[in-house]
Amino acid sequence: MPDFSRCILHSDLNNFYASVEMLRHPELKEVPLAVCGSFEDRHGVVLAKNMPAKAAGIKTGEPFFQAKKKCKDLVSVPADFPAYVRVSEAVREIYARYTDRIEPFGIDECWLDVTGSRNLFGSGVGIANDIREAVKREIGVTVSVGVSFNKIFAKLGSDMKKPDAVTEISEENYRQTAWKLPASDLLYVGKATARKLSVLGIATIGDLAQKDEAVLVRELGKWGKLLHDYAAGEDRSPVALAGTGREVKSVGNSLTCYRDLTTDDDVHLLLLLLSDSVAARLLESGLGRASTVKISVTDSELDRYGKQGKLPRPTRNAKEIADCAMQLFQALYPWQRPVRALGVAVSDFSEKKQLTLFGDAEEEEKEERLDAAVQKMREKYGNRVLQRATVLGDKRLAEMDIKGAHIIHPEGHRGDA
Amino acid sequence: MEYRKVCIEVIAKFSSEGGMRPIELKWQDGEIYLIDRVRFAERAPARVSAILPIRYTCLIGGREKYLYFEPDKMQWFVEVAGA
Repeated sequence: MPDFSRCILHSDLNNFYASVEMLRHPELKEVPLAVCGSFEDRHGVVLAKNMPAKAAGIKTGEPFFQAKKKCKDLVSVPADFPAYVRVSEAVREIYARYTDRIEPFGIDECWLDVTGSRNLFGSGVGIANDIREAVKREIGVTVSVGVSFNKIFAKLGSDMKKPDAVTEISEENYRQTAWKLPASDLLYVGKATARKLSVLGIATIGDLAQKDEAVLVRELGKWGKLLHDYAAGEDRSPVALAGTGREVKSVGNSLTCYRDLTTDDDVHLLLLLLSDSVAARLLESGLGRASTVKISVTDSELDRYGKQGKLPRPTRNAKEIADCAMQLFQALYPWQRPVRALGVAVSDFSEKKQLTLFGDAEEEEKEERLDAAVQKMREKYGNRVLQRATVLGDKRLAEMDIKGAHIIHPEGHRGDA
Repeated sequence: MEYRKVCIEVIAKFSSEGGMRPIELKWQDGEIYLIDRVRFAERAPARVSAILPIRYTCLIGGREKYLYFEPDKMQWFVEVAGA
């Protein structure tokens, strides 16, 4: 039985980067606009688009030259992350007028728990509309807000009407609204899971909610129970209190390469670079050693794949991370299309040093001292001063400074640490 | 209606209780205008290029005018009608 007592909002800034850039360039409001990140020859990849660009079929993640072919009038502006962070903070200050239970999810989304706030400020929908209007009036960007009794449905709600809208998924209407949506709309249901679900005869979220939980657990493992709960409106995860800095759960880097990759060797090269960067950040972060590696792959049609696996022992060594990443890649990727982008992330941190049965401890310590020395050199002279021999083989790749340009990934939404 | 952004020189006062208000502004032709009163100071978007400006609704010589302050540039501007 779902808990209907809570009132949760999910606020999602519409076309966020593009909206901020339209404040900087008001003359471009009616013009198709793409905000691009900068990579070598491609003049960048589309990170965000405004409504006219969306209408012209421009997709986030595609290279600018490709987008420009779809739409000749498309204008590109460079991304300015510090500005987006400032605007995001200003918007969160508006949320803070209504509640202290605010949980950001990436730079442009937030959950708000307004259960108690209703005594002071009115109904959930009323608060959502007040917020929507205040953001528009004071900042000049728009939000879509979902109102519901749990985080999952609130997020579904904010996706339903865009831009500048409020959608309620209530106890009375969730079967007519949330349950009619495709199962792939549910948080954490990706292409692979959606396919597994359709094999089971599950097309909508309602189908998922009404499916026998035992069947789902058998087919999907513990995800089966979780997704069943989400679909049934039974997610009870709390919205984290503002100011309780959630501990970092993973450290990762991803990169869109300047050219599509077509061989295992190409991929291995990039995974090495990414693992170097992740290892450096892990060392800097003081989080300890990681036990799990997750890779993400995006192919040339922008389909995404992911796989995670355990490291043979906790480590923060770049080569060990890269080896594990490569193994995961080879097990995961069917090579039906070239690879457009790769990501490597590590998680499950622990401080302890673990001795292996075969006494590699000395070897590991040597590698660690090497890593630490390399780190020192990089801090002094910049990230590109020392390169792996393999990387020097591909000159363009060697020139990329990945660590300097890492991207903000939202982590899991579950408030419980 | 098109607007142009004109950055101006402003003398402002910081009160001991906190808060900043514009006292006088110097126009492009060198003329000094005294700000008689600040009616409102609120965060509001401008019609010209600016991110997160604070809009001061000021009374100058009996007429109302918006003066904008951009905190990250520490700069004041006004909007002038006409391209």
